Amino acid sequence: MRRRVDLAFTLVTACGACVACAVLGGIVAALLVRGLPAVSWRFLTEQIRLVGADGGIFYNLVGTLILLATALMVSAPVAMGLALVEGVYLAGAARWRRRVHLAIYLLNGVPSLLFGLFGFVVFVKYLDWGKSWLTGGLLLGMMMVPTVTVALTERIRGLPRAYVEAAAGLGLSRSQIIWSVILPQSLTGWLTGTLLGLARAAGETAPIMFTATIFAGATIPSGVKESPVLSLPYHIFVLSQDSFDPAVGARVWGTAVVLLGVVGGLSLLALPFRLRQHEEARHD
Amino acid sequence: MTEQVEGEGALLEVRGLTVSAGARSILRAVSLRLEARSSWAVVGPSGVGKSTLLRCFNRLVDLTPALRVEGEIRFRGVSVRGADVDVDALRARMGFLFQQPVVFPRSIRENVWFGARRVRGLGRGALEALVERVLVAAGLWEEVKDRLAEPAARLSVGQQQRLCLARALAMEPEVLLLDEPTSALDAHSRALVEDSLQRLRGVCPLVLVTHDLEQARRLTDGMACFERRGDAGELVRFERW
Repeated sequence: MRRRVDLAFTLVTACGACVACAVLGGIVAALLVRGLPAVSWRFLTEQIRLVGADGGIFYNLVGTLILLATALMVSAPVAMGLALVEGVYLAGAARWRRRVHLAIYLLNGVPSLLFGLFGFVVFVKYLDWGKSWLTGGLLLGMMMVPTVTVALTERIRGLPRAYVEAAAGLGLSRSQIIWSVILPQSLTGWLTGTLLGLARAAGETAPIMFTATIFAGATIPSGVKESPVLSLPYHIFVLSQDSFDPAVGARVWGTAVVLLGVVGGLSLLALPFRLRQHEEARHD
Repeated sequence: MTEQVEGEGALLEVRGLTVSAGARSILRAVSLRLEARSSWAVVGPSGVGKSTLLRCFNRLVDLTPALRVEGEIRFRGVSVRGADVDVDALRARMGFLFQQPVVFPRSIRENVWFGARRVRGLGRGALEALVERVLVAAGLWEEVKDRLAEPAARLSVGQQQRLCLARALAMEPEVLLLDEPTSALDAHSRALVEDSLQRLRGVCPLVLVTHDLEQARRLTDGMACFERRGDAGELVRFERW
């Protein structure tokens, strides 16, 4: 009886894994079959022409990279500060730590569309920036903060206490301990969280569609106000809704393949750091 | 304690020290006086609060918020427990060696000057000279002089403990607090660490926590002996040999 339950359980979990893999494989295969023929050097290096029916997605790719770079720079200090507050400064105050923890998870649960609306009300309207790459970067950065913070906090909390005691025993102040012991040794956690967060941010449409990105007519932004960028996800969003031109269709799939490449590349970059983390966890 | 030289103060003076964790006491009503210019052993069975006593001296106990400390501790005549004490500066004056060596994931050289660079603010030239001097004093120089840039984690445990000793010496401490520094080491490494400590005790007083009475006799001038009374450790004997 017990063996049968065991077997059934194994089958169910295996089925779950197969379904997940099949869905992923199906999406990737469908994208590649339809999109790969459209991807060429010209496609990647030319700008959009004929409302997406000709030309390439150069500035869409550049725009997405600008948004991601901004999000990276926004999320890094905020997430590090938050992780240090939670993992170091509140280490002895369990109740406050739980509250901060809850806030981080709530932030993670805020729908991306609400980030977009918030950005629209505050930056686009109230601060009168119009559509701006900076708003998009700020919003995507804030959306990444929970992912980065959790990865970093786990690393900080997993750090052997002996390191902190040894550094304190030498007379290092708390900030010196943070800079020379805690942060350097949690860097892989930060990097993992950041790459995973960026991978998710790269595909987000809702936070940037009213605040940062337009369909055509933008290149490299030169200021903050009224300085939108093009982007990959918004390009796909607009063309897949509005166009029945087959030439456009192929390019939409091509754009999707490029977006998948960006996301997949970032996730793959995170892999070695995550493996190393697990490796170290096993040794401790 | 009657042999005390005229005009010479105490290295460490403890009055009515009680340490507790919640309802449980770890140390109860400890009073003792360790003279300067001598080295002292703190002996007693496991769990009697010897390490806790040592951690009270340089206030490493502060890092464990669950512990409550009462009583008075003076280091060279000045209270270490006042609210206005610069704890980091106090710790910098007392070298601390843990039971298990703790090396940072950096090179041997960087481990040696880890504290000296950040706390004493020495320049590169001074640091280079310091590295050789303290590694010689810790008895490790000959073994590592050609591979100072290698990761410290590649050293054996015994070598790592001597590296930690060198790192503590680089702070030019006024006392070395040693928390069973040889109990994690093999016989050979233990002998090497003891040799270094034997040489050092003339320069810098030691306070050595140990199980090993023979080691205490070899390395120190007297001992404070702790035993468990009820749930807490108490000082039961103090002698000078």
